[in-house]
Amino acid sequence: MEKHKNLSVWTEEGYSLFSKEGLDGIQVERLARILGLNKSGFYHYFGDLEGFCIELISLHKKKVSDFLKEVGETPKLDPDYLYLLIKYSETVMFQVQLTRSQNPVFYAASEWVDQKVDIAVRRLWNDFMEVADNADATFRYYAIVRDMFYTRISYQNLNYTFLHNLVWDAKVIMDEIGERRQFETDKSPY
Amino acid sequence: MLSQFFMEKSKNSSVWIEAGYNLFAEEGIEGIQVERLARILQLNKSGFYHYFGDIDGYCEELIKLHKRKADGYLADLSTVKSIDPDYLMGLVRHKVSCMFHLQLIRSKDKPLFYKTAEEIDQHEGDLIGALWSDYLGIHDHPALALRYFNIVRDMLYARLSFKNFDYENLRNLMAEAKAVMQQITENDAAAVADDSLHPLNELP
Repeated sequence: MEKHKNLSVWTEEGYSLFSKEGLDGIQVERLARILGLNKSGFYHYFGDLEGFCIELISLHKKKVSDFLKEVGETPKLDPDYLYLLIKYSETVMFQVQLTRSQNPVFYAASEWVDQKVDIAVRRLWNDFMEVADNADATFRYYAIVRDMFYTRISYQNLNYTFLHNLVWDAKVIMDEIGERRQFETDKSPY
Repeated sequence: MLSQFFMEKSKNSSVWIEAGYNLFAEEGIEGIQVERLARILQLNKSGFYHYFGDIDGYCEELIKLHKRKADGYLADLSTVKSIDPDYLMGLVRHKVSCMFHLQLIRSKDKPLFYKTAEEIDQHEGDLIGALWSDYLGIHDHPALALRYFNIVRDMLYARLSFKNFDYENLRNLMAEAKAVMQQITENDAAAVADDSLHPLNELP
């Protein structure tokens, strides 16, 4: 248990650093300095940086699982799911860093997470967009809005107001385009 | 002699800037390290500090270069006749600048970076609005189409990398954005049509 506790001290700090700075933030000497520990401990537990990153990804999947359990109990996208994202800020930002990574192992991990979260969020999103649960196109729209979120989000703006405006803008745009197209259809003489 | 001296000096500072521009496009601000630049260029670090003072001064020059390149991109954009293929091919032609731009957007802790990106995005939107609304089939409503374009552009920023920044991938991503919008709004129209039949069904 002592060993696990010491190992997790490294991975928790590394997780936090990665969520803020990506892979460039992960340097053994820097981690050791922050933790006040000897670098040899790092090499003992992880072997090298690659081994450490594998542990970070495992930790991320575990945190995502905890997140998904709570999503299952979340009644509504706004405000409940949005507040859940804020509660899991560090996990969200770790995921954002993974999506931006050129490293194929990191990118594959981000896709794994997206697939799991997509399934869990589908119900909430389609309910928010006021469409039937099997509305495939609306859920493909979620993927586009999610990617916009990945581009725009940062620790600085990961707050309720920003998230609320983001999802409502996305909904309103689609509603207004729909009204516009309905208007043009109605104008047709046929 | 004097003009030649100044030209040599400009040439040397621009060598640092061009190298940094490409590095930033690939890796963002983390890629910008004086020692690394000096090693790549095989120049002395003292040259960097002489021309730019520090990293902040250097980044200001990178931004100036990006604005000049963006002017070229926007000038190109003003001549395009379609989203697909003209606009998309334009993005591919300006691939490095687009990737540099993407890194600016990601730099949320540096107002100079993301505000520069926002300004350029605004200009791009102004130029592209009518074409985009035609592409989507939302005619005569470019302001609304542009709001969707802003979302789709952010989606592109999330998905694009140097490896997949090609016409085919861009075309597929744009086509998906268009198809999703069309299908959702067709579903909405069908739902409205269904609703309008119900009162007739209830007549005695």
